[in-house]
Amino acid sequence: MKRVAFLSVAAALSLAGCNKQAEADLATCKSDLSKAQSSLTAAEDRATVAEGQLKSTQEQLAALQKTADEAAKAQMEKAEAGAKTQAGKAAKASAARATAKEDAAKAEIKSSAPATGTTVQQKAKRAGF
Amino acid sequence: MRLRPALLLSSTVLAAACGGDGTDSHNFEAGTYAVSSATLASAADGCGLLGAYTDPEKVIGIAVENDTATFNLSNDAQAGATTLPTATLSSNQLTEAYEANYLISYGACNVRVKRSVTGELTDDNKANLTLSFNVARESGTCVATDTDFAALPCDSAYNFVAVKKND
Repeated sequence: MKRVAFLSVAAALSLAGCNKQAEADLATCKSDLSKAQSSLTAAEDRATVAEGQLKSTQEQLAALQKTADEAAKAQMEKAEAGAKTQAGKAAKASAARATAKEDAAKAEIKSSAPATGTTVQQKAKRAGF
Repeated sequence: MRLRPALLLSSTVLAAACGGDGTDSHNFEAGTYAVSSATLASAADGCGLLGAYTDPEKVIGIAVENDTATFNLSNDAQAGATTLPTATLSSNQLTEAYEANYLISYGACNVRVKRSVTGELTDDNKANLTLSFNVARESGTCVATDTDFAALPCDSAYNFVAVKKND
């Protein structure tokens, strides 16, 4: 009987000790879990901040790209317009030269610039007057 | 005795009545005409050739065929037909028939000249004439000093008397 009682007491004490250990372990686990959750939250916050920064940077990059594209386009258009103007001027000048050449060929009177000292009588005669 | 004066008077009256305006048509013959009394007929001598017409040596050629007079202002036998203005003669009046319209090439500059002659016969082979002309750039690069004209474009008109020279 005494043995049974001793064993019972020993078991009870053992169980009580185990229970305390388990509670301590649980508290430790809870503490660790809490830390881990805090760490996770902090990490998530940092990730959110980083995402925000990334988004902002991407927007800035897109804006810069757009500005650069527009500047390049404007420059291209300006260059094309300039080229067209130059080409137009060249074409006009060419046409004018061709017209002048044709007119010179069909002119009734072919003359040259009057020399210095040409009298009005000489000029009139040259011009058919 | 009174019949003769009456007949003479009536015939004179009849002749005056049937004779039109009473002016005679003067003869106008082809030939070389001396130019004199040249004056400016326009506000200014834009083209600057009046001096050639005030020159006492200035002559022009005039050809007359039927009622059309052709004016060879430079009296140049080689002058092209398109450079010669013509006028129609009727009752001593010379009215524009053809305005000469031609090009002069000064190298890289071409100018168009338009000119006409009008006037009236004041006697046989004598006429008061008016030469009107204008000059403008047609094509090319033109500077007036490279042409025979004082300015471009320009307008001028001259009055002068033309009297046929004895050939």
